Amino acid sequence: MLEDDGTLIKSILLGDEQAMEMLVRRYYDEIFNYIYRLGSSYEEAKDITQEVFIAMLKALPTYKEQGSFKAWLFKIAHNHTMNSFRKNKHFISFSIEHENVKVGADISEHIANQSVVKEMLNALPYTQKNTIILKYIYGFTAKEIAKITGTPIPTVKSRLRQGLEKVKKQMREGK
Amino acid sequence: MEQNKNFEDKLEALLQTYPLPKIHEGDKQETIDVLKTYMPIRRERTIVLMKELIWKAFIDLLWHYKRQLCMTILLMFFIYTVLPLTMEKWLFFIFTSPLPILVIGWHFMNEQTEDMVELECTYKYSFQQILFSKIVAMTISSIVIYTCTVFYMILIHHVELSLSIFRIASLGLTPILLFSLTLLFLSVRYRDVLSWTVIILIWIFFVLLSISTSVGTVLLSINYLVYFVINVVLLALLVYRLVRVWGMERLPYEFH
Repeated sequence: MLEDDGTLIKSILLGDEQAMEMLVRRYYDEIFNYIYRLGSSYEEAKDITQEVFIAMLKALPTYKEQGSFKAWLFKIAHNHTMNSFRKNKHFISFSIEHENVKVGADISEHIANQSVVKEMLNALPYTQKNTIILKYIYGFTAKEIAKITGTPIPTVKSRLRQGLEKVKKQMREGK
Repeated sequence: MEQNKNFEDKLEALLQTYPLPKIHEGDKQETIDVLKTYMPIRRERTIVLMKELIWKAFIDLLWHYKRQLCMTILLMFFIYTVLPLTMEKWLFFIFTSPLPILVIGWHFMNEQTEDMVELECTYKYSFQQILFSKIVAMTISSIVIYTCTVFYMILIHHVELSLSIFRIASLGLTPILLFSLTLLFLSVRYRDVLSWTVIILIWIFFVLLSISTSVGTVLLSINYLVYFVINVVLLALLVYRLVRVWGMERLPYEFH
């Protein structure tokens, strides 16, 4: 039987392991892929995903059913990914690589092997890339993206507009 | 506008082609196994737990007080059969409605010794949860017994059902709910058999006073809707107190 998130959360809080497994399986792929798309390696994405679900379980008693659970979970995923990137200097190097387009020889070779879409996204600054991923892959609204990323709605809209402009430009150049 | 929409659709389709690695099932399982160590302690749903405890309390009540209950019920039916149908009999009938709860309550209070409380505190369920289930079981048992006696009275005296049943039910329910509430209050606050004895004596005095004076007539002449309202209030109070007892974290009373 497919139970909704709210019912599963209530069961988890009562110690139901099956409900926890069901909820994790429901969102594992989405969370993992989100973290991976943001620029993590498989192993990094795996570790961060695990941390996200642990944080979710710890924070579950304080979760209030306002807005979607998915958006709440993505907020945790976003925060953990950011922390991990900061800790490993991943984000900074990524931004420098892609914003200044000063790509090192090994990294340039790596990117060259990726598909067009990956190249296109990686060429965007992290914030714009994140906003586009959340909007066009996961279907979140600007309001939800603002909550996930902890930024005001106008900033989200501006990032989205700027990101789309860059993508358009890249697609034109690609033609 | 149309151009933008087309572009967004195209982008959405393009983004879906983002190359993603295959997620290993073992990695998911590993996360689930790790999460099991962070799980809250397993608790039963409140409603399920309440049902289970009340059912256990019923079985315990019927088994533990079978002799007292049987004697009380037999006595009640004997009196109702033997006495002629007069107003005193109706008064007597209504006043004896809380008899099961008075008898069981007396034994219940008598067993609330320090040792017993200490023992119950070591149970799987909290002392408050056990008290909750016992009070609920006692109240429901009394109501069921009273309902049976009402039907018995109607049957043997051929009283018109539609006229009397609601009136008698309302009147007899009032003392049952009142004593359930009192028993709950005393169990939480005093837990002393003497307090229950005093309550029984006051009730006997009140019954005698009602039968021998005009108090009984006055009580019977009051519109049964008044009793109905009183019953609703008493029931609401009882439910409120029971819910509070269930939710109590600590033992509400400490022995001195």
